[in-house]
Amino acid sequence: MKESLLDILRCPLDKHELELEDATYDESADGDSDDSNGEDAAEVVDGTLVCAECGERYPVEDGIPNLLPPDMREESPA
Amino acid sequence: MTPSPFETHTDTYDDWFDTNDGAYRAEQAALESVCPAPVPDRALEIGVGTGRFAGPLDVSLGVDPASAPLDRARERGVTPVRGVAESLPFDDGGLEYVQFVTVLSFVDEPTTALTEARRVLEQDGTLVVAFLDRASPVGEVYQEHKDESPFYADAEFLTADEASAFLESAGFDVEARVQTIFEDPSELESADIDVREGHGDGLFAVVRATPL
Repeated sequence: MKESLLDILRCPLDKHELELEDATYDESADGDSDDSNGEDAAEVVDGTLVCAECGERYPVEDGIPNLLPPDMREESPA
Repeated sequence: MTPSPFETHTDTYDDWFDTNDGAYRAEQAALESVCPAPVPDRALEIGVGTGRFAGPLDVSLGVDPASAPLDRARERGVTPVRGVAESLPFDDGGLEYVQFVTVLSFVDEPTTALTEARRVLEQDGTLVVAFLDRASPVGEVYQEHKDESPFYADAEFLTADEASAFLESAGFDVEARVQTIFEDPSELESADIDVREGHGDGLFAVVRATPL
């Protein structure tokens, strides 16, 4: 995911903003986007999204933010 | 939580669109006939699956609870997000366009899902909902045999009236209705694309709605 996605992503529980922690980036990612520019072009590969209000933590797995409500998250993905 | 058939049978699901190319093209044509052109930048498909519809329509974002299909959606140019329709991880009014393609039949609470769609859409945004019409001739056949399909066994097919009622109760005004697939989808050739106004005759029914 691009970091700019955080502009519209929200906590699924209380809809508050999310903060990215412990991010690792793939600087070489060029993706299919034709309008990549500046720092927003870097792909976040792994990290944690933390709700600024309730503190719930959501993983970014292989570049995909997992914003399933916590009770629907599987214990150990295959 | 039981693994979703879309998680465990991703290839089977995705291959349907190749083996039923005529039906797939007709469904895309029906969607294109009612969705905004071009599709706005801040666009989301809810229940995006493998991106078979979001990809060609240039819908930028896709949300789905299943991870395996989302990898395919990403390959089709859609930015993937894991999440559920009833509890969307997006800002109020953050999106200009939202679509559901044959997904309301699978969500546990259609009205909650549509209310969430209403929340994330801006006031002059557009919603498009496509569904398999249980009251259409082909839909009646699907309804009879749905227990034989790993994908449809848990589905609740809708009628056009039910879909409209859900939309209205979630705060939407229906603007347009189109339909396609008037015979067995596996028999359709690509040249057979036939999209008509109204509902009740075609299996694949599409509604465009705007927030009230």
